[in-house]
Formats: sequence, structure tokens, C-alpha cells
Amino acid sequence: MSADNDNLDDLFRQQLGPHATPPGPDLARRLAELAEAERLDARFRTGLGSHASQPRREVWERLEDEHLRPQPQRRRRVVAWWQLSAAAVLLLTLLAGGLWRGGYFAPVGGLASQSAGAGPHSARTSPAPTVPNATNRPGASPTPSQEINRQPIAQATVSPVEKNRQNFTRQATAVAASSSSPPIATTTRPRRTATAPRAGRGFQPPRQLPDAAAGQLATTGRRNGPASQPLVTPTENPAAHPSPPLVAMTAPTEVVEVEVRRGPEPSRPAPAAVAALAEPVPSRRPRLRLGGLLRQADHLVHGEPVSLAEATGLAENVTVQARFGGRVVSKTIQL
Amino acid sequence: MTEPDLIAACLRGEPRAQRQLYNQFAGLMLTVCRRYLKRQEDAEEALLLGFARVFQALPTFRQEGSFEGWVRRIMVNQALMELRRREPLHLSFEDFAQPENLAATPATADSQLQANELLALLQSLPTGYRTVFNLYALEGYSHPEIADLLGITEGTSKSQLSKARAMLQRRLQAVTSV
Repeated sequence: MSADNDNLDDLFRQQLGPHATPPGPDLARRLAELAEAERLDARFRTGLGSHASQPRREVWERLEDEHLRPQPQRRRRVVAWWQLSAAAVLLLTLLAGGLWRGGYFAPVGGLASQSAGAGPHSARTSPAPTVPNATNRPGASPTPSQEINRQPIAQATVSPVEKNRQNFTRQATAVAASSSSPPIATTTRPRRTATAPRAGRGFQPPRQLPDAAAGQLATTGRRNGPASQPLVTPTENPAAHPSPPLVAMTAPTEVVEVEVRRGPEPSRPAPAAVAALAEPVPSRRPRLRLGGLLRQADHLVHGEPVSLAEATGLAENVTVQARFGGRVVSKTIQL
Repeated sequence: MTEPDLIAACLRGEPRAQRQLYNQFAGLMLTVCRRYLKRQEDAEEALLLGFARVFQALPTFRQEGSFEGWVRRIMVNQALMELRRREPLHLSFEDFAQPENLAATPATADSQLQANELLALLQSLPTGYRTVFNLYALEGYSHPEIADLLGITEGTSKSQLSKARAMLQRRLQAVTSV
């Protein structure tokens, strides 16, 4: 029995073991496709797997500059530099504009009166803050007290002549520093008043005011009108020293003239010419120059020296000249 | 410098190590990018952004698998992102919807083809074909992974792969028979 089973197994093993059944047409096609696909994939895998393409040099440079070391500090520095430049230009513009406007609002012909017998710090000024309201109204006839209030600008009583000289220079310097349009300050003993050449016209708009750059002189003996704006030393307190007593403080001394003008050393005008120039003469206003501003901004960017005078059209120097008696004291101030 | 040392130096931000790592993988990875992107400029852009991502994500590399495989995966993802920006990927899937069969005749002489010619053949494929063939045949992604990666169905992925192979086969025969 067992021998029969063994014979049967051997029969199937011998008959079917080496026998190969050929696949059908569909199966054969699918098998061929798979084999071909695998061969195709392997071809591309082996052909491209180890292939290296050389990237351009710019790729690394961009990678380094934009991602690995982006250098934000340099950009911030550039921004900060331009912000600084813009701030400097803005500051220059504001400064120039302020000087320009200040030149129109400053009195064209101011007067600083001084007399002997008082110290330099006892300077009296008119109550200037209340006066312009009264005088600004066109057609308003000023009262005598108003008349007095408008006239004096700055007064100082100095006993020695040497102190006079020092004080003149100091006061004139203060005036020049506060205004780009240098007025002329003239001191007279009898009236010790300072008036603008537009006396009696009330307050005038700044555009109609004449330029004081021509070095006009205002003498108090020729005018009784109000000054457009008082010429005061900054330390003086107008409320503490009303103007009426000033007339009483006047002492008989010699005439002292203080002249402030643009440019370096001015040629001293003759007294007659001084009187003639007291009237307002239209002249060219200092003008803010855009080209000059841009040029100065360019200088600033390139680290070159910046000239405020060139940018604003103002004079670089202001000369203060004081004459009293037979002596002349002058000082040039560089802006 | 061994690979772990190189990675550690890059993690410290050493410029020389970063340059060395770039030099070591840039050529291979540019070929990877060129397989997906036709234009050389686009491939280089993908390479650049891919390396930026590599250096950025370097601290997350766990040193467990192949570093080159990790870099290659980043490059493939970046190339696919660039591809979406440059070429209308989905349109190409719709344009070639008819199934194709592989050529029955096996190509034999094309084994002599150079890598640049193979690359040119690959780049001549429509975008969908090329992308699926790259992902399946050359990167080893499965059809479910490809479907998830490209936002297509598995059937579309299989169909695209089949058509890509058939087209490549025909073009290989045309090239080698010349």
C-alpha cells in the first residue's frame, strides 16, 4: 500500500516538476511590461543617481548673503545714516526758516539807549508785550502813554565809558543773535527811545518790511512813532521797569551810536546818509535757496563742511559797530 | 572631517564647514532639482532655498538615518514647491488622461546614454508625468505617498507613472535608433 503511494508521488513529481506552463498572452505582456518598467527605472536611477550638476557661483553667494550671513547691521547702518542725514537737513531747514522769519519780525531800526549813572544790569525796557496789540490796529491813534511805551527798546545806564563800550557790544551781540536781519541801534541821550523807521504806521506784515541788511540807521531824534518790536536784552524784565521813569533817568551825556550790519567790516556811513537811510527802502530779502540746501545736504552726506550761510542766503558775518564820542568800537561776529 | 563633525561645525555656524557641506551636496542636489524643474534658473532657485532650509533645520537632524537622504528629501520638497509656483502641475495631469502601454520592445542600446541625455529625456515629459515618475521610480515614494504629496488620487498617480514610462520608452527608442 505504501509502495503504491510512493509510486504515485513520484509520478506527479516526475511529470509536473520540470514541466513549464507558458503564460497566456495577457500575462506574458504584463510581465514583460513590469520587467521593462523596472529596467527603465533602474536605468534612470543609476544614470542620474550619482550625477552632479555644477551650480553657478552666484548660488552660493546668494545663499551666504541672503540666508547664512544676511548682514542686517549694514542695512540698519545705511538706514540710520539716511535718517541722520534727513534729520540734519530738516534741522537746517527749520533753522534757516526760523532765522529768515526772525529777520522780518525784528525791528529794522532798533535803538539802544544808554546813559551814564547806572549799572549795566539796570537796563530798562518798555513794556513791550502789551504795546504791539495797541499799535497793530490800523488807524488807532496812540495815547501819550502808549507813545512812550512804544518808543524805548533797551536802555542801560552806565557810568564809566569803558562799561559803555562793553555793554554796547554785548547788547548788539544779543540783537544780532536773535535776528538774521540786523537792525541798527542808535543811542541818544535826550530821548533814549528807539523807534522803527515805520513810525506811525502801526504793525506791518513781515513781507512789507524793508530789509535791514543794508545797514540802515535809525536815530531817535527823527521819529516819535512806535517801534514795531522792542529791542531788548534777554535778561531784562519789562514788567519790572515800566517805560515812563526812563525819561527821568536820562542824563546829559554824549550821543552813542551802535550799528549792526551784515558782512565783515562795514564802511561807516556819514551822518547825513544815516538819516536818509532811516526810511524803509525795499531791498532783496534773504531767500531760502533750495539748491543751496541740497548742496549742503550733499556736503553733509559726504562729510564735507556745511555752510549755513550758503544754504539760507544769509550773511556769514555780522558786524557790530559802536560810536560814542570820538571813539569807534567794532566787532565782527561769525554766524 | 567626518560627516558628524561637519554637521557639528555647521551647527556652530562655521563658514568653512557650511561651504564644505554645500560643496559636498550641491552638485547632486542640483541634479535632483533639475529632474523636477525644466529651467536651470528655477532649479538653482530651488537648490538655494533648499540649502537655506537645510542649514535652518540642521538642529533637527537626529543623526539616525542617512544625512544625504535627509538633504535630498528637503530638496525634493523644495523642488515641488518651486514647481507649483512655476508650472501648472494639475493642468498637466488633466491633459494626458488617455492610458498608454509600454512599448513591448525592450530598449537595449540606450544603456549607453549619458546622464545629461537621460535628464533631457526626463525634462521633456509633461510636468505630471515627470513628477510622478521622479517620485516613484527615482525617489522611491509609494503611490499613496505621491497622492498625498501632490494632492491627487492613487489611481491618477499610477496612471501618470504608466504613461510616463511609456513615453520615456518610446523616446528612448527614438534616440537610440538614430
